[in-house]
Amino acid sequence: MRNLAVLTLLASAAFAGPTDVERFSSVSHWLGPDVKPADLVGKVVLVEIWGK
Amino acid sequence: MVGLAKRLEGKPFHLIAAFNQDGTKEWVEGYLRGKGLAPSAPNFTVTKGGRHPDVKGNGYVPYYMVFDHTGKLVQEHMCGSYHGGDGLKMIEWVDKLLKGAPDIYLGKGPWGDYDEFAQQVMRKKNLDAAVLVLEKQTDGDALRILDGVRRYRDQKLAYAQSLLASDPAAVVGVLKSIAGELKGTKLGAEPAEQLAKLEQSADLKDAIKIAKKFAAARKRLERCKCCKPCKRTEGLRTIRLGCATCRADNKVALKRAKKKLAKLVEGKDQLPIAKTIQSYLNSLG
Repeated sequence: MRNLAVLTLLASAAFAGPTDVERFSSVSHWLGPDVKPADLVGKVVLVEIWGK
Repeated sequence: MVGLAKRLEGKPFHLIAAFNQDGTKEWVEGYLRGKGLAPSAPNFTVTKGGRHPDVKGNGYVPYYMVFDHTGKLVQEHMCGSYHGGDGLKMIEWVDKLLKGAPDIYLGKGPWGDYDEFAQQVMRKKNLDAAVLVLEKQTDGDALRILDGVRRYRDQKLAYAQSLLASDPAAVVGVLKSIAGELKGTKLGAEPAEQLAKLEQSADLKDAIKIAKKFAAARKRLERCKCCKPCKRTEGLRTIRLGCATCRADNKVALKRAKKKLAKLVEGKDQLPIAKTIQSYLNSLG
């Protein structure tokens, strides 16, 4: 029973994966001091894609 | 959008301006500095080529994405008033989502007997008086609130450090503000100490002078005189560093400015502002 609980925990952790904002963060090139995905946790994040 | 970031400073909010058109990282940094903005502030960061694997957009900018505090993408849309954009709807999304987000520094309550102090800390009103009481407590809730205040203080200190590279004259103001908010408390000792050291620092005085000269040189340099692409853009008065015509038309001014700026930072490698000027010099080609 204990093994089953451990397996369930491992499986759920494996499926959790990165959040949407972490996926944005990991493919972007930051200017200035880097912002780590962890810095965005717990915050509402607005991304504005802009150009010239 | 920078105004939005300023309005929401201290709230659980972060603005990312993702530049997604032609131009090098140096060009983007030079452009921002030309507008008086640093690429990074406490709740505002710029990226070059930022994208989300699931968001395809429609090829036009500006385009926005809003994520809630759990990291979930809640909305994506064109902004502006053209190409089907929904104007400033993104601000409504942000305000709506902020209502469900826990305080950035304190996290989630309840705070037991210390709820009144937690509210006071969240409002940042009479922070010193609340902290003085909390620092005498040993209760877990009180200590959790103090941890939140420490996070707030540390973020201000880190922001002050980052300003040394972009706006050294503003550093003293940021330190004074946090030292004043926490005056007489144990948590306020570090900002007060950093402020005292900085006010006597010859390097800071030097950096402020250099930054002032840099801003003036940049202003002179980026006052566009001639090229066709700029003339077509009403109101734009800067050299477009990404525009070959503009660069060629301002060749002499560019060369003169580069020489002057290089001399300005000669032997000043220890100053963070020197690195900024060096990066601007690189963007001039």
